Amino acid sequence: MSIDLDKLMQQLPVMADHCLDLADAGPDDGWWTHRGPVLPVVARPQLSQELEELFEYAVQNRIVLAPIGDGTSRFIGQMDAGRTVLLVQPGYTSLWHGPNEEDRTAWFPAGVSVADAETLLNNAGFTMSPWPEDHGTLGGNWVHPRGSFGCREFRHAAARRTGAQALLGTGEWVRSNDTPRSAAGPNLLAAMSGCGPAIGLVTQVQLLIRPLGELAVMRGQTDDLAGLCQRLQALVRDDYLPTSCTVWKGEGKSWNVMWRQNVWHDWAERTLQQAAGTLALQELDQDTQLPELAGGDSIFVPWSKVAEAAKRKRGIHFCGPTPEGLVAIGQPAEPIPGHWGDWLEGASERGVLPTAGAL
Amino acid sequence: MSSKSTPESGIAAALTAADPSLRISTAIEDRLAFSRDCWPLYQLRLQQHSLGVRPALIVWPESAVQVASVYKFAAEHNIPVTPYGGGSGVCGGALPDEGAIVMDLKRLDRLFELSPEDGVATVGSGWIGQNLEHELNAHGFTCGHFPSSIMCSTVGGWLAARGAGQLSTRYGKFEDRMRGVEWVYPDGTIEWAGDTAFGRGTCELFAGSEGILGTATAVRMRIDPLPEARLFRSWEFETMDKAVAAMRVLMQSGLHPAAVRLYDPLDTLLHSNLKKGGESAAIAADSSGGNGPGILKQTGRWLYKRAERFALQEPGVAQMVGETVARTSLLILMFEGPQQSAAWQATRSDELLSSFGRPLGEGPGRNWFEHRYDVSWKQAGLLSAGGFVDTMEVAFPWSRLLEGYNAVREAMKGEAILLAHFSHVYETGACIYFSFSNIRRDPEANERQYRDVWRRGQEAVVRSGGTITHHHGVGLLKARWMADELQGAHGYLRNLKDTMDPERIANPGKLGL
Repeated sequence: MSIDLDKLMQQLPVMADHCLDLADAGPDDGWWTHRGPVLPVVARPQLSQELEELFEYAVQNRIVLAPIGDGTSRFIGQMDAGRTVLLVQPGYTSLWHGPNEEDRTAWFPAGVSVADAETLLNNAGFTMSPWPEDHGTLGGNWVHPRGSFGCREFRHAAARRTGAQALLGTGEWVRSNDTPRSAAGPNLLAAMSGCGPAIGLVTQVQLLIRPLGELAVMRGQTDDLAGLCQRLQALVRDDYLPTSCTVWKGEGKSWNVMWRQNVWHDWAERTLQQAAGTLALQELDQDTQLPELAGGDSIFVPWSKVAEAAKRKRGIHFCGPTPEGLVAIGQPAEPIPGHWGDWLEGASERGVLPTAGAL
Repeated sequence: MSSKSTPESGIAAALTAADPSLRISTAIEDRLAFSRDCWPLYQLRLQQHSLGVRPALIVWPESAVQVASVYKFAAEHNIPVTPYGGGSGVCGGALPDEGAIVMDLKRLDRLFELSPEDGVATVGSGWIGQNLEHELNAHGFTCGHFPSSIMCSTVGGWLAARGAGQLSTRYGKFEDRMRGVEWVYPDGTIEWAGDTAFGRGTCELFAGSEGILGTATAVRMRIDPLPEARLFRSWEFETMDKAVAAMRVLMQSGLHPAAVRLYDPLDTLLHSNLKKGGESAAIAADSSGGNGPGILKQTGRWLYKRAERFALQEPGVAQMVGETVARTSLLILMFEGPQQSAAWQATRSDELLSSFGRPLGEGPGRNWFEHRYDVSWKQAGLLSAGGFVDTMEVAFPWSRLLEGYNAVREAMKGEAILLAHFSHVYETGACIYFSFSNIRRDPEANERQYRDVWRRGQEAVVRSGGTITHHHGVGLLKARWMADELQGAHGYLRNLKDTMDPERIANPGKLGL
């Protein structure tokens, strides 16, 4: 079934013209056209009401809505040329009301890039301590957490990602109520992390923020990956937690480690000194080019399997560390198991969200 | 098992035929024992000489395959199944329907894997917490999860209710420690989740699901090295405003104490022995002769009992008198972990809190730690004395924390004696743990009052923008407020359950689903 663009435009009177594009233009970076069929329509909803109307149109016309941020994941889903509308995450900044300094949280539209969100926070004296190479949107990082979203400084993933708002596959909305934690049943918003858009469309995210201190970046190199892992593990177990840490393959047999520290209190200063001594780190030259993080899934790798994972895949990047291991970035996408696809489709009822295929 | 043919024995015979390896009982004493968990409402029903709902049988599976057999049988015969761990839940999450199958999982107590290198252990979901902790301690590790029910709750129960231990401020809630789950769905499918991004997402659906989507049979969890150091601090504050402000500053300065416990003025007064030592007497104190409040204990047990009864019968008066006398709030801190980290945090906390309150030294904190399991794991004697006592654990962001505290107090004013302490503290907010009690002339009035107090409290929490439960779960008790809490997510979960469990055999009714 093909989408009748005129009909769509008529049925979405609220939506401004610029929200709908013919898809042969594709997303701005041309990413999609390299990976899949040409889609008839790209929608860029600016308001919740526009998203709701688009959702209802999709229900009536049996169209699948596929959300996209910066296109850095490897989501394929059920997209096909006839039935899919590529839905660009809302990226407007009118929702930005500044940080909540008392609660140390901030709400952002899901379509805001990590870099833009960090700039907004920095201007207010805060940071979300992003991964320097993170180039996705906040919504994309919610459903495909990687890089800084596995950051050990925040101790638990849930501590970092404190809330979200989403339009569920049922057409109903859900929004976290700002409370730090809850035991009121399964955490559906947290479950979206890893389930891609199969459960709902994330439109806003809430993050824990920290005061912006002096940012220190140091780098080291070694041929001994096993020894490096042991030293990283010892640092973390002794509560010396980096703001972010990346390990990647260098020239020949060498491995690089980059340690970033937001020095906003005394222990962070001590941590930096301890890490510099333990890992033989040097201050990073401002001109040093860092590797770009690969897109795709992140896979947790226990310490006992890091060496094996490093041998298996060339160009692998690790981040972390956690007490139990590292997180490997840029891994192949995992499909939703067939029975789960059926269950999630049944739960959504409306058939609008992609629940099968690779995530 | 009785030789007389009954509906229960018929079901037992059919289940045995389906899987002869299962251990099954239809004995009346077992069916009565598994008709309850620790929801105080059961005790109130006992006061009314009601023995509650009886399941058809109890089954003790020893493997995931046997759990799957039970679910397949139940689906085929349309019989509800309630997973049962330690029975320590206080919301009715493990209460079976009449004629249901209760699946006691405590025989799932194998240690499948313990990896010191990776800091993880994979354990059967039926392990009793204290037994697991002893086992891990022998290997130099701790599970990091210390609910006050640790002696009578299981790993599976911690997962099912998204539990929190007393040291959660350092170690996290149980869902933070969960790394993977072996899960048996209501159709009998067995699956391991947690190794992929999608699997980690589904683990979030399993945590807190209270048996409505199936049950965990094994859990991979993070373990931590036993702490090198454990340091205590205690402070006294003139007002709650100052005390809460101090807690927030502490948590937003890069510290991560293992325990942060702030007692409100009445709770501080009633366990004035805490300044010397001892857990909160609260009203949950065992009036049958256990540790009574220090300030009242001196007046003699006889006088204490009568004073207590008067206070409970006239909660408005008692609360007013108590709060007239009660002035200060007590804060207990415990830091543990690597030596240098714990020492830095303790010293830094001294610097941060000195402008807010008065230091009381290590004693109160150390004594709390030594007595931390004294009260909660046994049913309060007050219940057997004809009254009720219960706890309501809710959470708010810092910006609404005192507003929420005051709203609940106002809503329950005159209806019960109400104490509170703040624990499970985060950078973004905190949990408030209310304890409340009352006594009425007759058992029926007790139950009406109990339900009314809960309604008032939960509605106040919803109005104030808090969460209705931080770590006890929902069960049957809080089901009616789930739609308010979860908004559209409640309908989604209902659909998900209907799809995964079309016969609706998996612990029906819990979570309001």
